[in-house]
Amino acid sequence: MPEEKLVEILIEIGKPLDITYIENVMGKEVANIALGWARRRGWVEVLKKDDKTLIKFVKYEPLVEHRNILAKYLNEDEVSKDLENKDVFKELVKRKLVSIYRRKIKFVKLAIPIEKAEEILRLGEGISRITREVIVKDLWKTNIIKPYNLYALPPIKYAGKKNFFKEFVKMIKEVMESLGFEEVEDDYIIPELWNFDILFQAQDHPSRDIHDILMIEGVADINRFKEVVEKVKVVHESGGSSGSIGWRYNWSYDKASKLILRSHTTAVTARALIGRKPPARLYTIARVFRRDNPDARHSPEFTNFDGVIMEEDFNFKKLLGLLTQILKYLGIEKLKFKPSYFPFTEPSVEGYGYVPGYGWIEIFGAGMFRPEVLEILDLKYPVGAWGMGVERLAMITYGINDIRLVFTSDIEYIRTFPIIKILAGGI
Amino acid sequence: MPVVRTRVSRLAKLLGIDDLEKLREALFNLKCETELEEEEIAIEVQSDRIDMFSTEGIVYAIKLYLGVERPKIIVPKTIFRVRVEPPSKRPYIAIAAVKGVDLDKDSLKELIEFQERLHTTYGRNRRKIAIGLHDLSKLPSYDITYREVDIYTTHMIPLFSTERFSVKEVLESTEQGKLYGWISLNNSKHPALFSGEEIIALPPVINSNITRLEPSTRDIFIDVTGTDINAVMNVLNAIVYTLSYYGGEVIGAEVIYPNNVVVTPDLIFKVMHVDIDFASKWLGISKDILVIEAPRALQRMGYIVESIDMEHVEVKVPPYRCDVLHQVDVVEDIAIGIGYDKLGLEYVQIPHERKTRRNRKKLLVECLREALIGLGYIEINTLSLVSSNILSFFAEEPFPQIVNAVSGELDALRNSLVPSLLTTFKNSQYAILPVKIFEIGEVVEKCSECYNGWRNSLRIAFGIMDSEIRFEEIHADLYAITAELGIGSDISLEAYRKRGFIDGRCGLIKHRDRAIGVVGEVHPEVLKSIGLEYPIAVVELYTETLMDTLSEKYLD
Repeated sequence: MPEEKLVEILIEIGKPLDITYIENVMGKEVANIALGWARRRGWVEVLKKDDKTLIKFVKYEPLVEHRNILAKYLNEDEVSKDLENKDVFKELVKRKLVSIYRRKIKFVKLAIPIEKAEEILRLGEGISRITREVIVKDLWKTNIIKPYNLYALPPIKYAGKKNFFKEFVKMIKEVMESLGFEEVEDDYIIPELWNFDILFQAQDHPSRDIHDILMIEGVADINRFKEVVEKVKVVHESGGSSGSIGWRYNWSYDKASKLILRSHTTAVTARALIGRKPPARLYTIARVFRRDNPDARHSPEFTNFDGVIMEEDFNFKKLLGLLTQILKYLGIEKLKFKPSYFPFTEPSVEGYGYVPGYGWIEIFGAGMFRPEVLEILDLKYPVGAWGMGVERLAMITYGINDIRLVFTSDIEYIRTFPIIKILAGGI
Repeated sequence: MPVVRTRVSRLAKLLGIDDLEKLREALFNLKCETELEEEEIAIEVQSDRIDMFSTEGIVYAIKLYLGVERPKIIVPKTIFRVRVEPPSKRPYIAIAAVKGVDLDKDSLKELIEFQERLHTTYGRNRRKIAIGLHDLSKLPSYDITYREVDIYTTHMIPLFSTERFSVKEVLESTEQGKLYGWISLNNSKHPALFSGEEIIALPPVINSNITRLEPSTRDIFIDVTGTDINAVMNVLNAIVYTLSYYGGEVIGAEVIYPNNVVVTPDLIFKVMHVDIDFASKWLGISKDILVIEAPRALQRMGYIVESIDMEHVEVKVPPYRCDVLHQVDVVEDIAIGIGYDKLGLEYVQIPHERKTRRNRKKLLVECLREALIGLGYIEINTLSLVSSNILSFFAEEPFPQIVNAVSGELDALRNSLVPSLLTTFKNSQYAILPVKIFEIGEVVEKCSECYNGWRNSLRIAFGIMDSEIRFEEIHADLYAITAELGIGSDISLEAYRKRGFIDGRCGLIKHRDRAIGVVGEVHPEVLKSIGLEYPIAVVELYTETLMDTLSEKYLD
């Protein structure tokens, strides 16, 4: 070590030496290092005499440990934790006489029995995928076809499938068509005229309130339906020639022109009936809109199934019979009828169906169109009408307890809705 | 629908029966739905039967229905004289008083609820009619006046106050004043009801404290005011029938308008002739049976049957039945009185053969569904109400906006199915990719030549969301489905710029030279704005145009 060399020189000469002499002997750079460490160890003293700097020997302890460590690491080797923490070792690192770095070690162990490993080695290049080449060139005769791990799970796949609710609607349509009913349609955006006025619903009726129906800016040109509009006015105000006293108020053309989102599809079937001759059997299954906040039981948009039937001798008893027939097709055998109120039918009835697991469930509202309505629609014969919510029926059929799931935008729900359930539920 | 709540024990006491099942069955047939809530029963009544908006009214209807009571005729003694100078915004008034009402704390509470039920439903939140109930014995004078007053110079003591305020102050500072003060205010004038010199009510806002009802009140004075004379009379009748349940005397009034005099309440049973032939045809019950069954049925529904033969039944309609507008309403009550379940059923004839006409739209829709499912797409069913926010990323044409939407999430109708697909993709990003979906559904398009300005249009859209999109995938699927429709060889794409799609990756789908739809990749900027992190390619087809392309040989 340089400081030992310095002390050696001092001992040999036997007297304090001028620093320039030492620098000449050792070289300036090494002399500085040597002097620094020798002073730190207390081996020498620095004296100032006149303008000279003299170095005087004090004592000497050989640096045995330093030398041993340097000797040990002549070749790269691992350092023990103890040694790493020793001051001497740290000093050597600091003086850049040794360099130190860290290395990670990973251990690998055979996970299968040795025999198995040997077998894999012996098979060499087995066939994993059978290709056309493997078959044509008989490669399977000279190479072994590797076995699959049959216990591993496959990647998940989903079948393309029809939506359960759309299938349910289709099933009802098929029932109605087999009963001789014709499908009719109309726009979502209609004037209040079709939704309320032609159904003899007074213009200040609470269900026409802004809190219940969804409105669209603007009005419809209902002047194109002059005959109906005139009849509506007369019948509302005084009953016209229907035999009714009417609602006895001033009917407003403007109110009837206002655009709304239809709130029921009787608006569609009733309008489609205008001026028809018996027999007529019409139905519709389509979306309607209400000003409801979405929750498990309400949706601002849902599906109505509405129908009307006009025959020369149609009557209330036949209406009850027809509804019983329809519900039997839909799988509901037990029914009871409750008197009810709808502004456009008389008598009015609510049908309750018995559903195992649910009990008595309200299924439909129905009735005979009031004579006032017949007068407005220019019909000469009795009309039976009904309406029901399709989602509720579908929910009962498929055991769904939240209407929002019928309209879900979560693909996982539809993906995991089994086809067997779609097919079994819809029959 | 209005709901009447009362304690089961009170109902049973008033009825004199405690067979709950019998009670519920009677209510079922009287159009009511019932729900038991421990001690209480909640009865949902139909909005047309205002006479059943009170417990007493329900009890009366049940008693009639069960045949334990007969229709009651009330003959009021006319004592009050009411002078009317019709307020321009609330010109009509009807007055009555009922004595000997059996009130206690509970029944007083129910009475107030009955009043509120009439206010909110039939009364259209006091706009059409409003009711004031007063303690008759506290009335300063039987000299009654109804007229407009100056709101600055006229004073009164409002309910639950001891001090006198100007009408203006009452309208502005009381809770009711703030809610209803605007309804009948005519500049600086407001309707007021006077007993002598004292204001006892400020219809439709508030009563005076002077005539306040208390559980000890036995004689009740009633005022009903409104904008429709018939509605005013009907409501008074319903209240009088409810209060007279306890058997007390009914006092009426002569209401003197400038040009005529009306006696209130008008409790005369109006005579109606119901045509037996009409009733028989309407219900499907033979005339013979009707003539036998109708009298009992009508009586249990509250009518008085004067006479019946094979031609007519002459009935007297109870004065509280304001829902009877036409003989058909009486016919319904015959059916209810007999019992819907006892009418019997008559099945309609089912056509012997099915109509063979093939429906073009149905054929197209079913063909597309089959093809897309075969290609691995899953059918979705979504709302046509969407957020205008998402629509505006794609809309080049106006779309219908809801004026009174409940939330920004559902404030518009879709004019394309693409936003519906994107919403589904957005909510399915956690699912295993790829997500392949399709929807067949209606959208609403602007239509300037339509009478209503809009029209429904049936569309079909399908799309793929994946970690990366190769255009050829959706392109191949498009060609596959057109091939299934038998029009594959006539399909071509044409470069197209469309809002929301990447330029150069959007094409117009054409059948010969007619556009039948659009295919494209959604622009990343749109995706990010919506909250989508995966690429999406979609196709939207216009089924109306597509229908025209179908070969005639597949149709009739």
